[in-house]
Amino acid sequence: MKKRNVIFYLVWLVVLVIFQPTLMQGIRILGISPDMFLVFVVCAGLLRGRGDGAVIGFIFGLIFDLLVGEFIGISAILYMYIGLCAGIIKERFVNDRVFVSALVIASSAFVYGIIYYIVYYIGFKDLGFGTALFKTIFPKTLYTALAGFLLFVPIRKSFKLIEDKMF
Amino acid sequence: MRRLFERKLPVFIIIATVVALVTVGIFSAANRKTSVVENIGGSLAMPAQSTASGIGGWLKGVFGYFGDVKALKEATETLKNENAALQKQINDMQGLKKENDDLKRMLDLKERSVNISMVATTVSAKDPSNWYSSFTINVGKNEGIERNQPVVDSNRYIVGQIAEVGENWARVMTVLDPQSSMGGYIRRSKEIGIIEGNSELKYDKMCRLSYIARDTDIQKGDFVETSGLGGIFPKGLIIGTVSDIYDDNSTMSRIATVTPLADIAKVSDVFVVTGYTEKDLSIPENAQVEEDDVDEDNEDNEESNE
Repeated sequence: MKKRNVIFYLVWLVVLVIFQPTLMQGIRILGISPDMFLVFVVCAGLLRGRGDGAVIGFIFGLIFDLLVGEFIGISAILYMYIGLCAGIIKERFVNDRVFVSALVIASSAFVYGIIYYIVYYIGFKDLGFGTALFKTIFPKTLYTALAGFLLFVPIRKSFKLIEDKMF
Repeated sequence: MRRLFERKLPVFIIIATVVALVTVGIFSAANRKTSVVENIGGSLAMPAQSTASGIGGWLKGVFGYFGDVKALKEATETLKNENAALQKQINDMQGLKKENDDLKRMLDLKERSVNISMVATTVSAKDPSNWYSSFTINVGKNEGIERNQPVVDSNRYIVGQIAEVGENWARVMTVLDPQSSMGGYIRRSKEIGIIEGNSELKYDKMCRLSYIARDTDIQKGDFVETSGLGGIFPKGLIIGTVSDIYDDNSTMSRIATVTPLADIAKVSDVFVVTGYTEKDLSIPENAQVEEDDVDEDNEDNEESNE
């Protein structure tokens, strides 16, 4: 593991921990904010492959869970598989096109939302699927995909600064 | 190194999945304590989050300035009309207050006053997931903050309660959060119930008052406040007003939807109620005796004059 890779991911982690619960919540639309943790995990998978995608997904997901404070571990699992799938897509099909990244981010956000809803429903049992789908999952998918579309290029540039792969 | 890792990747994924599933099971249990990792992480993130939150608020203020001018003009007109109406109400109420005081004196009702000690703080971060209704404040154990303490806004309207506490941070669960629960009291009819958050109502910024009897006298617009039962919350902190009432056939009780008076989505400065004492302000019995004495003296004087 290259030291500078670790520092690179740590810097991104700190940035996300600071901005996801603050600035991102300041740009809420209809009570929904984009999920920048998910955007970064998908980018890591698409740009670095399945190894980085899975490991970064697990670690970033765990930190995200700690920030949320509920169902700790669920985002760690989901982001890990999302990062893994993004890595597989990168290795087998395409690499770093902006449109593809937005599509992968949208699909990931939608699947994440559906699975998170199931866990949430098991925990609280007071939220209808229709309400969750139209008031949280769909808007969050669109907003996160838009954020991914806009931020993929700057994130890709930051990755290119660190040429060596993590593993 | 990379190939070695990729051969080990399936093992990592299996172990990570099992570990994460276990943590979901452990940490999803209700009323859990704040973990050491959360405490350290929260403490480290707090200064940066406070700064970022401040920058976000400033940007929002700058962009919102021009849009606010028109809204301010309209608000001024509305406020002028409201002011005139309120002035009339004050005049009417002064008469009613005097009458009420006299009646209370006659009935010897006990009136209580609550002295509340509070810690002022600001919201430094909000729930990043959009599934819950909570936020983080920049005071914690060091300032005497404890779990379940009520959190109010500048008007003393209930915002929520402390859910987790770190050394210099605390997470506030608002009354809209599905895990929120506290004793509620309908001011007009003096009935009690439980104020609960609800995932569906959260989208409309409302909560509900549950477990109230079918024959309860409750109307739209009734004020709901904290009941004070349980000793954690002081009695009489206003939560909100009743918006709708319907029967719950599963529990054979009634449920009222309540709109909190605190603007929970926009709240930025809050106060944590760290303690309270109740004073009994009932009029002492000897005050009545003194009045009786005066009456008797007057009668004696009248008799002697005769």
